[in-house]
This record gives sequence, structure tokens and C-alpha cells, in this order.
Amino acid sequence: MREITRMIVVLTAISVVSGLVLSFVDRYTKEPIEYQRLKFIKGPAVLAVLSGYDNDPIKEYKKNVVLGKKGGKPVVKTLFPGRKNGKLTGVAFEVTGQGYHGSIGIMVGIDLINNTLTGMRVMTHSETPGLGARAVEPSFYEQFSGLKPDEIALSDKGGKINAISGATMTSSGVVGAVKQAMELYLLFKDKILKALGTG
Amino acid sequence: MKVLQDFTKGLWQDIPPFRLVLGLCPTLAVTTSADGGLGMGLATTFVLTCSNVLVALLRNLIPRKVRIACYILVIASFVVIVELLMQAFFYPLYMFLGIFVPLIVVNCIILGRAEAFASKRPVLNSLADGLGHGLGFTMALTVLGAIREVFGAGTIFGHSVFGPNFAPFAFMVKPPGAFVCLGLMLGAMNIVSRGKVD
Repeated sequence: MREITRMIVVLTAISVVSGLVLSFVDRYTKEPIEYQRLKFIKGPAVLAVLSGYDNDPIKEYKKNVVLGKKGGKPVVKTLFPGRKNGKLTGVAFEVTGQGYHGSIGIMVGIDLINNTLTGMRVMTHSETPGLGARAVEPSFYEQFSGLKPDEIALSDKGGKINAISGATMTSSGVVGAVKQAMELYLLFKDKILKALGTG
Repeated sequence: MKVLQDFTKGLWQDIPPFRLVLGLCPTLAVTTSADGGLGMGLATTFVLTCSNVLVALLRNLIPRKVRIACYILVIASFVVIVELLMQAFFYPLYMFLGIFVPLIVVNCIILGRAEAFASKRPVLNSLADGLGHGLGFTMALTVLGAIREVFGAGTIFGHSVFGPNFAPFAFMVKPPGAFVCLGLMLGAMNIVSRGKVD
């Protein structure tokens, strides 16, 4: 009986200490990790989805802008502005779509003057290699450039996007998320312009 | 004297991937470049040294029956620390190593040294043992990575070696190239050390 108590005490003590140390390290590294993620994962996507800018959208980003409420839930987005000669021309932000194997992180770029998409990139996903994972290929994402809000839909639903063959779930998940991004933008355009400064 | 010996035996006599033939998963998987080998080696060295020291400190406290569970807890904690630090300060390396960073937990060199050495020896010897084996592992991975990178991509640590006209021997950076290269290095080491013993 004494032995089992000792085993329990030692294991518990090690677990508790380990948990405490890890939570401390986690807190200390949270901000640097967030910045690195922004720079190495979102950074390239942001630059790719915006067009016609001459500023550094990653440097000028606005973190966690509260845009308003939709369906009873607050909408909070991190916005990356694209400016040409100091004038605001586009905005990029992230949306999440539901794929076949969990969520898909998507960066969307929108032209603020014509209210069209400037581009879309899938940043994080865990889709099936060779099928859903092909959402990261140019043949898929290039279809989104320049689309008007009502054109963002799969071709069999009256839109202009051809689904990836064999990956209907992924395709409709991505398209749905991009469409939702466009809806959010149209709904909260004033707030977005205000947050970024029309300049 | 004894401490020094504990340190140096990991560098040649017991060098992990060649002599102990342990920890082959990262050895084969991440050595497509010298950078990758070096990064993986140093991360493993950190975990190995820290876990060795902690296991040696706690060696009289840990009940025998649950010792493996305790070692794994200690090792896993250090691996998570490495993972977080690497994400925070060396993000490109973290992206390159990917899943092999968390997999350091199951690197049998680390559990092997904890069980075979640190659980029975004083702290200072365990520290030397961990550092020695870690650096030996780092050396082996870096050399293996460098050889594969030079032949497979014509670069070393990302710098071009043979100029733009070099046609890379792509086999070397593919998985079979890792086995062939490891085998050749093992053979070369056996030839060298046989000469010494005789």
C-alpha cells in the first residue's frame, strides 16, 4: 500500500511541475510565435492575394478589429491593408472553411474600389494529398481572381469556379468560406474603411 | 577523469546513429540538408541533456515500477519546450523539420540514456553523458546531411559548391539515398576503428 501511494505521489508531482513549467513557457513564447506565423505563413499569402499595392501590408496590419455582429456572434478580423500611392485600394483577411478533414485556413484579398476579389490562397489545411490538397494549386486558386460577389460559387450552382475533381467537399468548403468573406466585407465595409483609414 | 570519459564516449566510441544504431528515424528523415541535420541534432542534444540531468536528480525518488512513465513525462515536457522555442525563434527550421520535432519524444537514444545511464549515475556524469551523446548525434546528422546535400543538391548549408552547371544526383536526397549513405558511413567507421583495435 505504501508503494502505490508513493507511485501516485511521484507521478502526480512530476505532472504538476511539468504542467506549470509548460504553461509558463507557452505564455512567454505566445507573442513571438504569433509574429513568426504572421511573417512566414500568412505573410506570403497576404502579398499574393492583394494586387496593385506599393506598401507593406504585413507591417501595417490591424490586429483583431471588431467589425460588428453577425448572427449574434461578434465578428473580429485581423486586416491587412493594400495601398497604392498612400491610397487604400485593397484589404486582405482570413476566413476559415470546413473541408473534408477539418478546417481550412484561407486568406482572401478584396478590391475596395470595384468590390471584387483580387485573390485567394489556402494557407493551412489537412486535406487528402492528391485530391483536396490540390486546393493550393494555381489551377484552382487562379479561378477566384477578379470575381464579382455573385460569381463566387461552384459552376454547377451558377458560379464561375470549377470544383477539384474528386474533392467536392473541399471545393465547396473553400468556395463557401470565400463567399462568406465577401458577404462579411460587403456588410462591414464602412467599419473596415474606418479601421484602416481611407487615407 | 571519469566525467570526461562519459562525455567523449558519445562522440566516437558510442556515437548514437552509427555505433548504437539508435534514433534512425530522424537520422534518415531530416538529413536531406546540412541545416536540417544540425537543427535536429541540437534540438535532440537539448532534450537529451536536460532529461538526463533531471532523471539523475530524481533517480532516488522515482519508484522503479513507474520509472518509464516518469522518464517519458520528463522527456515529453522538454520536447514541448523545444517545440515552442523553435516556433518562436527559428520558424523556418520548425517548418522544415515539421512532425519530427514532436517525434523527438520517441527517439530511443533519449529514453535509452535515461534508463541505461542517468537513472544510475550522479548528475555531473549524466550531464556529460547527455552532452556527449547529443553532440555525437548532431555531428553524425550534420555530416550525413552535408554529404547528401552536396551530392543531391550541389549545395552546402544552402551555398552552392559546384557552380550552376552541376547536375544534382537527386537519388541522394531521396529516402533510399539516406540508407545507402548511412550504410557507407557505417562501413567507413568500422574500417577506421578496426585498424585501431588491431
